[in-house]
Amino acid sequence: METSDAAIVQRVLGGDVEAFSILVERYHDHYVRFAAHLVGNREDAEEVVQDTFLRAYRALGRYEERERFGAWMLRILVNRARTVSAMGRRREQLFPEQVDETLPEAAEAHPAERAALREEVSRALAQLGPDQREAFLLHYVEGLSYEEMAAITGSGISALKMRVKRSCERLREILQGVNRV
Amino acid sequence: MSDRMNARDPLAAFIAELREPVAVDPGSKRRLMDLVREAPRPMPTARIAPARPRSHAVAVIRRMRSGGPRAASFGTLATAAGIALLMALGTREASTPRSGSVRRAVIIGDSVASVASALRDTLRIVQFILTAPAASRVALTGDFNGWDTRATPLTRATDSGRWSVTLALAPGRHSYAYVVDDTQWVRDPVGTPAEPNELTPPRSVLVVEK
Repeated sequence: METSDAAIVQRVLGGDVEAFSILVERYHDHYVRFAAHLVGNREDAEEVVQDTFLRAYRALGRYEERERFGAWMLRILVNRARTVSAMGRRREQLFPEQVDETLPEAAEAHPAERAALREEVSRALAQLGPDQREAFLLHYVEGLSYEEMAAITGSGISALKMRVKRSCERLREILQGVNRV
Repeated sequence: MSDRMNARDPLAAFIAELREPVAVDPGSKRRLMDLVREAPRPMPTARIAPARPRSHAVAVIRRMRSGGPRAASFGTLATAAGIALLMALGTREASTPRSGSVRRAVIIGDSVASVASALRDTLRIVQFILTAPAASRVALTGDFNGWDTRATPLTRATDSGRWSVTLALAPGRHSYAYVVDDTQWVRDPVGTPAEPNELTPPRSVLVVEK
Protein backbone atom coordinates (compact mmCIF):
# COMPACT_ATOMS: atom_id res chain seq x y z
CA MET A 1 0.00 0.00 0.00
CA GLU A 2 1.39 3.36 -1.04
CA THR A 3 2.43 5.67 1.77
CA SER A 4 0.25 8.76 1.89
CA ASP A 5 1.69 12.16 1.11
CA ALA A 6 0.76 13.37 4.58
CA ALA A 7 2.66 10.51 6.20
CA ILE A 8 5.73 11.32 4.12
CA VAL A 9 5.49 14.98 5.11
CA GLN A 10 5.44 13.92 8.75
CA ARG A 11 8.55 11.82 8.21
CA VAL A 12 10.35 14.77 6.63
CA LEU A 13 9.29 17.07 9.45
CA GLY A 14 10.55 14.44 11.87
CA GLY A 15 14.03 14.72 10.36
CA ASP A 16 13.96 12.12 7.56
CA VAL A 17 15.00 14.43 4.72
CA GLU A 18 15.42 11.54 2.27
CA ALA A 19 11.71 10.79 2.50
CA PHE A 20 11.15 13.96 0.50
CA SER A 21 12.55 12.10 -2.52
CA ILE A 22 9.39 9.96 -2.51
CA LEU A 23 7.33 13.08 -3.14
CA VAL A 24 9.80 14.19 -5.79
CA GLU A 25 9.46 10.84 -7.57
CA ARG A 26 5.70 10.95 -7.23
CA TYR A 27 5.10 14.42 -8.65
CA HIS A 28 8.19 15.74 -10.45
CA ASP A 29 7.67 14.51 -14.01
CA HIS A 30 3.97 15.27 -14.02
CA TYR A 31 4.66 18.81 -12.88
CA VAL A 32 7.38 19.29 -15.48
CA ARG A 33 4.86 18.43 -18.18
CA PHE A 34 2.32 20.86 -16.78
CA ALA A 35 4.90 23.62 -16.31
CA ALA A 36 6.35 23.06 -19.77
CA HIS A 37 2.95 23.65 -21.33
CA LEU A 38 2.43 26.69 -19.11
CA VAL A 39 5.71 28.47 -19.71
CA GLY A 40 6.51 27.02 -23.14
CA ASN A 41 9.96 25.52 -22.76
CA ARG A 42 11.60 22.80 -20.74
CA GLU A 43 14.40 24.85 -19.22
CA ASP A 44 12.01 27.28 -17.57
CA ALA A 45 9.65 24.44 -16.68
CA GLU A 46 12.32 22.49 -14.83
CA GLU A 47 13.39 25.65 -13.05
CA VAL A 48 9.79 26.33 -12.03
CA VAL A 49 9.35 22.78 -10.76
CA GLN A 50 12.65 22.81 -8.88
CA ASP A 51 11.73 26.11 -7.28
CA THR A 52 8.28 24.76 -6.43
CA PHE A 53 9.70 21.73 -4.63
CA LEU A 54 12.24 23.82 -2.73
CA ARG A 55 9.62 26.31 -1.63
CA ALA A 56 7.33 23.49 -0.61
CA TYR A 57 10.14 21.84 1.34
CA ARG A 58 10.95 25.02 3.21
CA ALA A 59 7.27 25.62 3.96
CA LEU A 60 6.47 22.01 4.79
CA GLY A 61 5.71 22.91 8.39
CA ARG A 62 2.79 25.00 7.21
CA TYR A 63 1.28 22.24 5.11
CA GLU A 64 -2.13 21.25 6.46
CA GLU A 65 -2.86 17.54 6.26
CA ARG A 66 -6.48 18.25 5.49
CA GLU A 67 -5.39 19.63 2.14
CA ARG A 68 -4.17 17.33 -0.61
CA PHE A 69 -0.42 17.70 -1.00
CA GLY A 70 -0.74 17.65 -4.79
CA ALA A 71 -3.14 20.58 -4.74
CA TRP A 72 -0.95 22.53 -2.35
CA MET A 73 2.05 21.98 -4.63
CA LEU A 74 0.07 22.85 -7.73
CA ARG A 75 -0.86 26.19 -6.23
CA ILE A 76 2.80 27.00 -5.58
CA LEU A 77 3.69 25.84 -9.09
CA VAL A 78 1.06 28.01 -10.76
CA ASN A 79 2.33 31.05 -8.90
CA ARG A 80 5.94 30.33 -9.84
CA ALA A 81 5.00 29.77 -13.47
CA ARG A 82 3.17 33.09 -13.50
CA THR A 83 6.28 34.81 -12.18
CA VAL A 84 8.49 33.21 -14.81
CA SER A 85 6.04 34.08 -17.58
CA ALA A 86 5.79 37.65 -16.32
CA MET A 87 9.55 37.99 -16.60
CA GLY A 88 9.01 37.90 -20.33
CA ARG A 89 11.31 35.10 -21.18
CA ARG A 90 11.41 34.18 -24.78
CA ARG A 91 8.99 31.43 -25.66
CA GLU A 92 10.78 28.56 -27.28
CA GLN A 93 9.77 25.53 -29.13
CA LEU A 94 8.88 22.62 -26.87
CA PHE A 95 12.07 20.58 -27.30
CA PRO A 96 11.02 18.31 -30.16
CA GLU A 97 14.52 16.82 -30.42
CA GLN A 98 14.40 15.40 -26.91
CA VAL A 99 11.01 13.87 -27.54
CA ASP A 100 12.52 11.45 -30.02
CA GLU A 101 15.40 10.64 -27.66
CA THR A 102 13.40 10.01 -24.53
CA LEU A 103 10.12 8.70 -25.89
CA PRO A 104 11.31 6.30 -28.58
CA GLU A 105 8.26 4.05 -28.43
CA ALA A 106 5.81 6.87 -28.81
CA ALA A 107 7.78 8.42 -31.63
CA GLU A 108 8.68 5.19 -33.37
CA ALA A 109 5.58 4.74 -35.51
CA HIS A 110 5.40 8.14 -37.18
CA PRO A 111 8.25 10.27 -35.90
CA ALA A 112 7.84 13.03 -38.44
CA GLU A 113 4.10 13.35 -37.91
CA ARG A 114 4.49 13.25 -34.16
CA ALA A 115 7.17 15.90 -34.13
CA ALA A 116 4.99 18.07 -36.36
CA LEU A 117 2.01 17.60 -34.04
CA ARG A 118 4.05 18.55 -31.00
CA GLU A 119 5.30 21.64 -32.77
CA GLU A 120 1.77 22.56 -33.76
CA VAL A 121 0.53 22.05 -30.21
CA SER A 122 3.31 24.17 -28.80
CA ARG A 123 2.71 27.00 -31.24
CA ALA A 124 -1.03 26.97 -30.71
CA LEU A 125 -0.65 27.11 -26.92
CA ALA A 126 1.80 29.97 -27.25
CA GLN A 127 -0.87 32.03 -28.99
CA LEU A 128 -3.13 31.97 -25.96
CA GLY A 129 -2.84 34.61 -23.27
CA PRO A 130 -1.27 33.39 -20.00
CA ASP A 131 -4.58 33.32 -18.12
CA GLN A 132 -6.36 31.44 -20.90
CA ARG A 133 -3.52 28.95 -21.27
CA GLU A 134 -3.45 28.31 -17.53
CA ALA A 135 -7.22 27.80 -17.33
CA PHE A 136 -7.29 25.56 -20.42
CA LEU A 137 -4.48 23.32 -19.14
CA LEU A 138 -5.91 23.02 -15.63
CA HIS A 139 -9.32 22.09 -16.95
CA TYR A 140 -8.66 19.90 -19.96
CA VAL A 141 -5.20 18.47 -19.30
CA GLU A 142 -5.10 18.27 -15.52
CA GLY A 143 -8.81 17.44 -15.45
CA LEU A 144 -9.69 19.81 -12.62
CA SER A 145 -13.18 21.05 -11.90
CA TYR A 146 -13.83 24.78 -11.91
CA GLU A 147 -14.11 24.70 -8.15
CA GLU A 148 -10.69 23.09 -7.90
CA MET A 149 -9.28 25.59 -10.37
CA ALA A 150 -10.67 28.48 -8.37
CA ALA A 151 -8.99 27.13 -5.27
CA ILE A 152 -5.66 26.88 -7.05
CA THR A 153 -5.69 30.08 -9.08
CA GLY A 154 -7.60 32.44 -6.79
CA SER A 155 -9.85 33.43 -9.70
CA GLY A 156 -13.64 33.24 -9.71
CA ILE A 157 -15.45 30.35 -11.33
CA SER A 158 -17.27 32.47 -13.91
CA ALA A 159 -14.01 34.12 -14.97
CA LEU A 160 -12.38 30.71 -15.31
CA LYS A 161 -15.26 29.36 -17.39
CA MET A 162 -14.96 32.34 -19.70
CA ARG A 163 -11.21 31.83 -20.07
CA VAL A 164 -11.67 28.16 -20.93
CA LYS A 165 -14.42 28.95 -23.41
CA ARG A 166 -12.37 31.61 -25.15
CA SER A 167 -9.26 29.47 -25.18
CA CYS A 168 -11.21 26.66 -26.88
CA GLU A 169 -12.58 29.05 -29.48
CA ARG A 170 -9.13 30.47 -30.14
CA LEU A 171 -7.48 27.07 -30.38
CA ARG A 172 -10.11 25.80 -32.81
CA GLU A 173 -9.46 28.81 -35.01
CA ILE A 174 -5.74 28.17 -34.90
CA LEU A 175 -6.03 24.43 -35.55
CA GLN A 176 -8.49 24.83 -38.41
CA GLY A 177 -6.20 27.44 -39.91
CA VAL A 178 -3.32 24.99 -39.75
CA ASN A 179 -5.37 22.19 -41.27
CA ARG A 180 -6.44 24.30 -44.22
CA VAL A 181 -2.84 24.96 -45.25
CA MET B 1 -21.52 27.00 -21.52
CA SER B 2 -20.66 23.42 -22.31
CA ASP B 3 -17.35 21.68 -21.78
CA ARG B 4 -18.38 18.66 -23.79
CA MET B 5 -16.16 17.75 -26.69
CA ASN B 6 -16.73 15.04 -29.26
CA ALA B 7 -14.03 12.84 -30.68
CA ARG B 8 -14.05 14.63 -34.04
CA ASP B 9 -13.40 17.97 -32.46
CA PRO B 10 -9.89 19.03 -33.51
CA LEU B 11 -9.28 19.96 -29.90
CA ALA B 12 -9.67 16.32 -28.78
CA ALA B 13 -6.44 15.23 -30.46
CA PHE B 14 -4.78 18.42 -29.30
CA ILE B 15 -5.65 17.68 -25.67
CA ALA B 16 -4.59 14.04 -26.00
CA GLU B 17 -1.20 15.23 -27.18
CA LEU B 18 -0.92 17.62 -24.24
CA ARG B 19 -1.51 14.71 -21.86
CA GLU B 20 1.46 12.77 -23.21
CA PRO B 21 4.57 12.67 -21.01
CA VAL B 22 7.29 15.13 -21.87
CA ALA B 23 11.00 14.62 -21.82
CA VAL B 24 12.59 15.24 -18.44
CA ASP B 25 16.26 15.68 -17.76
CA PRO B 26 17.14 12.43 -15.96
CA GLY B 27 19.48 14.27 -13.60
CA SER B 28 17.00 16.90 -12.54
CA LYS B 29 15.53 14.94 -9.61
CA ARG B 30 18.97 14.09 -8.27
CA ARG B 31 20.00 17.75 -8.46
CA LEU B 32 16.78 18.76 -6.77
CA MET B 33 17.39 16.38 -3.87
CA ASP B 34 20.95 17.72 -3.56
CA LEU B 35 19.46 21.19 -3.09
CA VAL B 36 16.91 19.85 -0.62
CA ARG B 37 19.68 18.30 1.49
CA GLU B 38 21.48 21.66 1.59
CA ALA B 39 18.36 23.61 2.51
CA PRO B 40 17.46 24.42 6.11
CA ARG B 41 15.30 21.67 7.54
CA PRO B 42 11.63 22.52 7.73
CA MET B 43 10.12 22.70 11.18
CA PRO B 44 6.51 22.21 12.19
CA THR B 45 4.96 25.61 12.74
CA ALA B 46 2.08 26.71 14.88
CA ARG B 47 -1.23 26.52 13.15
CA ILE B 48 -2.95 29.78 12.43
CA ALA B 49 -6.20 28.38 13.70
CA PRO B 50 -5.93 27.31 17.33
CA ALA B 51 -6.00 23.60 18.09
CA ARG B 52 -9.11 24.19 20.18
CA PRO B 53 -11.15 26.73 18.23
CA ARG B 54 -12.51 29.52 20.28
CA SER B 55 -15.28 30.55 18.01
CA HIS B 56 -16.91 29.57 14.82
CA ALA B 57 -18.66 30.67 11.84
CA VAL B 58 -22.31 30.53 11.68
CA ALA B 59 -25.11 32.51 13.18
CA VAL B 60 -28.21 32.65 11.08
CA ILE B 61 -30.25 35.37 12.59
CA ARG B 62 -32.92 36.82 10.43
CA ARG B 63 -35.05 35.81 7.52
CA MET B 64 -35.94 38.47 5.01
CA ARG B 65 -38.90 38.39 2.71
CA SER B 66 -40.49 40.69 0.26
CA GLY B 67 -42.50 40.74 -2.92
CA GLY B 68 -40.71 43.72 -4.47
CA PRO B 69 -38.29 43.76 -7.38
CA ARG B 70 -34.77 42.42 -6.88
CA ALA B 71 -32.94 45.69 -6.64
CA ALA B 72 -30.81 45.85 -3.52
CA SER B 73 -27.17 44.94 -3.95
CA PHE B 74 -25.72 42.05 -2.02
CA GLY B 75 -23.31 44.36 -0.24
CA THR B 76 -26.06 46.72 0.84
CA LEU B 77 -28.03 43.88 2.28
CA ALA B 78 -25.07 42.43 4.11
CA THR B 79 -24.29 45.78 5.69
CA ALA B 80 -27.83 46.27 6.79
CA ALA B 81 -27.96 42.77 8.06
CA GLY B 82 -24.88 43.34 10.17
CA ILE B 83 -26.76 45.93 12.13
CA ALA B 84 -29.61 43.52 12.59
CA LEU B 85 -27.15 40.92 13.79
CA LEU B 86 -25.95 43.06 16.67
CA MET B 87 -29.47 43.81 17.76
CA ALA B 88 -30.53 40.22 17.54
CA LEU B 89 -27.57 38.78 19.40
CA GLY B 90 -28.18 41.23 22.20
CA THR B 91 -31.57 39.75 22.83
CA ARG B 92 -31.10 36.08 22.12
CA GLU B 93 -27.50 35.10 22.72
CA ALA B 94 -28.20 33.90 26.25
CA SER B 95 -30.43 31.21 24.87
CA THR B 96 -28.06 30.23 22.07
CA PRO B 97 -27.04 26.59 22.41
CA ARG B 98 -23.30 26.28 22.94
CA SER B 99 -20.70 23.57 22.77
CA GLY B 100 -17.62 24.88 24.48
CA SER B 101 -17.45 28.36 22.99
CA VAL B 102 -18.78 27.40 19.59
CA ARG B 103 -21.67 29.51 18.42
CA ARG B 104 -24.16 27.48 16.49
CA ALA B 105 -26.73 28.52 13.95
CA VAL B 106 -29.58 30.43 15.48
CA ILE B 107 -32.73 31.57 13.79
CA ILE B 108 -33.74 34.75 15.56
CA GLY B 109 -36.75 36.00 13.78
CA ASP B 110 -38.89 36.27 10.74
CA SER B 111 -39.42 39.99 10.60
CA VAL B 112 -38.80 42.10 7.54
CA ALA B 113 -35.94 44.56 7.59
CA SER B 114 -36.45 47.77 5.65
CA VAL B 115 -33.75 47.01 3.11
CA ALA B 116 -35.30 43.63 2.49
CA SER B 117 -38.36 45.20 0.97
CA ALA B 118 -36.41 45.25 -2.26
CA LEU B 119 -35.92 41.52 -2.24
CA ARG B 120 -38.21 38.90 -3.58
CA ASP B 121 -36.45 35.82 -2.26
CA THR B 122 -35.97 34.63 1.26
CA LEU B 123 -32.42 35.11 2.48
CA ARG B 124 -30.69 34.26 5.70
CA ILE B 125 -28.08 36.36 7.39
CA VAL B 126 -24.98 34.40 8.30
CA GLN B 127 -22.01 35.55 10.30
CA PHE B 128 -18.68 33.83 9.67
CA ILE B 129 -16.10 34.01 12.44
CA LEU B 130 -12.54 32.73 12.52
CA THR B 131 -10.04 33.17 15.34
CA ALA B 132 -6.64 33.68 13.76
CA PRO B 133 -4.52 36.02 15.90
CA ALA B 134 -1.39 35.65 13.77
CA ALA B 135 -3.08 36.46 10.48
CA SER B 136 -2.63 39.74 8.60
CA ARG B 137 -5.57 39.16 6.28
CA VAL B 138 -8.46 36.75 6.20
CA ALA B 139 -10.99 36.33 3.42
CA LEU B 140 -14.00 34.11 2.95
CA THR B 141 -14.31 32.14 -0.26
CA GLY B 142 -17.09 29.84 -1.32
CA ASP B 143 -19.60 28.86 -3.94
CA PHE B 144 -21.65 31.94 -3.04
CA ASN B 145 -18.92 34.31 -4.29
CA GLY B 146 -17.60 32.17 -7.14
CA TRP B 147 -14.63 31.04 -5.02
CA ASP B 148 -13.20 34.49 -5.36
CA THR B 149 -10.51 34.82 -2.71
CA ARG B 150 -10.61 38.60 -2.71
CA ALA B 151 -14.31 39.35 -2.82
CA THR B 152 -15.22 38.84 0.83
CA PRO B 153 -12.57 40.01 3.31
CA LEU B 154 -13.15 39.51 7.03
CA THR B 155 -12.76 42.36 9.49
CA ARG B 156 -10.60 41.92 12.55
CA ALA B 157 -11.94 42.92 15.95
CA THR B 158 -9.65 45.59 17.37
CA ASP B 159 -8.75 43.84 20.61
CA SER B 160 -8.64 40.20 19.61
CA GLY B 161 -7.66 37.77 16.91
CA ARG B 162 -11.27 37.31 15.91
CA TRP B 163 -12.15 37.94 12.27
CA SER B 164 -15.71 38.11 11.04
CA VAL B 165 -17.96 38.96 8.13
CA THR B 166 -21.72 38.87 7.73
CA LEU B 167 -23.44 37.77 4.53
CA ALA B 168 -26.94 37.19 3.23
CA LEU B 169 -27.17 33.69 1.81
CA ALA B 170 -29.88 31.85 -0.01
CA PRO B 171 -31.13 28.67 1.61
CA GLY B 172 -29.28 25.56 0.50
CA ARG B 173 -25.97 23.82 0.85
CA HIS B 174 -22.90 26.06 0.65
CA SER B 175 -19.22 25.14 0.54
CA TYR B 176 -16.70 27.60 1.89
CA ALA B 177 -13.22 28.08 3.29
CA TYR B 178 -11.13 30.84 4.79
CA VAL B 179 -8.04 32.16 3.01
CA VAL B 180 -5.43 33.41 5.46
CA ASP B 181 -2.79 35.88 4.30
CA ASP B 182 -3.80 35.34 0.67
CA THR B 183 -2.26 31.88 0.48
CA GLN B 184 -3.35 29.45 3.15
CA TRP B 185 -6.74 27.82 2.81
CA VAL B 186 -8.24 26.95 6.16
CA ARG B 187 -11.30 24.86 6.75
CA ASP B 188 -13.67 26.13 9.40
CA PRO B 189 -12.11 24.62 12.53
CA VAL B 190 -15.45 23.50 13.90
CA GLY B 191 -17.62 23.57 10.81
CA THR B 192 -18.76 20.50 8.96
CA PRO B 193 -15.88 19.33 6.76
CA ALA B 194 -16.63 18.89 3.08
CA GLU B 195 -16.07 15.52 1.50
CA PRO B 196 -12.33 15.24 0.73
CA ASN B 197 -11.44 15.59 -2.90
CA GLU B 198 -8.17 14.68 -4.59
CA LEU B 199 -7.16 18.20 -5.46
CA THR B 200 -9.33 20.62 -3.58
CA PRO B 201 -8.04 22.43 -0.53
CA PRO B 202 -9.88 22.08 2.78
CA ARG B 203 -13.46 23.26 2.74
CA SER B 204 -16.44 23.25 5.01
CA VAL B 205 -20.11 22.86 4.35
CA LEU B 206 -22.89 25.03 5.64
CA VAL B 207 -26.54 24.18 5.17
CA VAL B 208 -28.79 27.23 5.30
CA GLU B 209 -32.31 26.05 5.91
CA LYS B 210 -35.41 27.75 4.58
